[in-house]
Amino acid sequence: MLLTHAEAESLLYQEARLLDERRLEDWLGLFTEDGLYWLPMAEGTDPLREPSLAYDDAGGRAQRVYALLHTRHHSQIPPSRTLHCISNLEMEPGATDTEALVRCNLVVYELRPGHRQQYGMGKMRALAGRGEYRLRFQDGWKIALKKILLLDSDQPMTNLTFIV
Amino acid sequence: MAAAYAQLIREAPDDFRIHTSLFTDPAIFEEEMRRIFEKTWVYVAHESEIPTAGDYRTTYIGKQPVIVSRDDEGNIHVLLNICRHRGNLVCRDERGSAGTFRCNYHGWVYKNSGELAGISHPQGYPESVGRDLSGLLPAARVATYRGLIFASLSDQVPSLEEHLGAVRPYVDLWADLSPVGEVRAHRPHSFAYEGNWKFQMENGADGYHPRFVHECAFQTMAHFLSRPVRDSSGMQDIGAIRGFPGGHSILERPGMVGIDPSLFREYTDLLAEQHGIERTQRIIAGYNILIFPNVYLMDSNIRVIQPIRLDETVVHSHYTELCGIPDYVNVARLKDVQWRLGTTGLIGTDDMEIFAAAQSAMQASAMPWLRLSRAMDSEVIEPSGERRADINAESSQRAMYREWLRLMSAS
Ligand code: FES
Ligand SMILES: [Fe+2]
Repeated sequence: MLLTHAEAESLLYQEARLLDERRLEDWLGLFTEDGLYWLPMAEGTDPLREPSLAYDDAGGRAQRVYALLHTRHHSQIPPSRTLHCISNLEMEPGATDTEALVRCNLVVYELRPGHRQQYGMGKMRALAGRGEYRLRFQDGWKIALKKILLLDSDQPMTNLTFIV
Repeated sequence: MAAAYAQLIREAPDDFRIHTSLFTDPAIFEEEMRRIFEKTWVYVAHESEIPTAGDYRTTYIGKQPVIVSRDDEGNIHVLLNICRHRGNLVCRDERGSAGTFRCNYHGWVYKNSGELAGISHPQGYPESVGRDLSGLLPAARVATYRGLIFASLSDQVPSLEEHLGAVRPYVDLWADLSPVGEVRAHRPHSFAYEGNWKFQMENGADGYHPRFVHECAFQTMAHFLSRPVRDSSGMQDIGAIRGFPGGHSILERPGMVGIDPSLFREYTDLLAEQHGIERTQRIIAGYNILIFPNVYLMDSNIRVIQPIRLDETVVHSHYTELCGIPDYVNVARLKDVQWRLGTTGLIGTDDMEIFAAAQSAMQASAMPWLRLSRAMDSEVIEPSGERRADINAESSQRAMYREWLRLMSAS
């Protein structure tokens, strides 16, 4: 059965909730085994040969989550509070019973609580990007590709150590 | 003023201190731009970023906007990106390709060599206009070494080779990571941090901090042994720091971080064919090379430090692809350097967290002196002026601040 608009929406909302609640090990479970989490630096780049902000296969995601949850990762002490907002969701035509391509806009609000006297603390910021999700049916719908092209993907970034 | 700088850097045989105003005084920042960035060789770009005639990229030498261009004959120019008419920026794009640059204010046109090609509506001027203007102001000196393009806004500088001095053989080792001696610098991972530019300059050759600041990366590496990473368990006790006259320095970190080239036999065989086994071992040993005042060369990246304001710095970390080696080795190198030093990488981001925190704390005047005296007593001083000590030494930072003081105090 084709993925419905409502089902796509609820999968993306679920992902947003897991990230915002820092249930990152559960987040890992949303991906297919060969799934990718990709923040390109520009449209049309080859992620194996040209730099990306992030290009994580299963191993890369597991390492990122491990670093965030189980190590002294200074740029996440205290951790970022995030709020992932998904909108403008569109289903690309050409979906099959097992594959679907969903596009959306993503805004992430982020805050590290702390003294305003300290650079980077106590100040809310917003990141915005265009999302492309390739979803695949494998014991339920899973993420085969999460690709977010941030509006400022090729501009100098400050502390992008949380998961977009 | 010049004499006053000597008060801010205190050196005794067993003590080296710098004053926090180097990080917090806006007047000192302005003077640094003038006395350091406009008076010495500054790294501006890598040749591979402008490979063909007409290619250009824009950047800054301190506060001065410049265009690094390749003219129709293939010559490299470093031109002040300021219109000779009324001072508008001539080129806004970060990179591109163009035969001419046309100022968008009143339409004056410059060739990609900088030469003034045309003044719009010239009949409005007396005939003499433009005759005194050759075109965009060029940097006083431009030179390249192993693909690295440097420029100086002052002509009172030694040759680039002389300026690089003792660090030059290390630049050769770095460039020879490619068996054909050619690297390609990619679009950078770019960071902005809220802290002074000297924090990043101090940090890249600071072997004392990794076990603390990079606990996260080392723990994660240790947990996931599948990556081809070098064994980091014995780190911190091997390797060396070498500080040089001119402010440059080397962090030698054999076995510390990065991919292990010896796992890629096909690659190291190519190097050995070219350079022999002994030199190959030196090439792949692993160095962070600091070229004062604004660039680091590391195994897989060129890290360029761009001061913006007293408490704001941008760092561009260009992944460097090696020409003439198997593709899969470059794929592994990119993955590794992105994982460590990329925008979301585990190492670079934690460094910048410290820079912002240090800048925050130093706003306070309660603790005015910073200590950089580690290993002053054990440092070996060579006749050449090289000072060498163990990897935890602060020899690099001392070398840098000696050069800082020399330039800031020059009349
Ligand atoms: S300022 Fe450039 S043409 Fe007038
Ligand atoms: Fe570091």
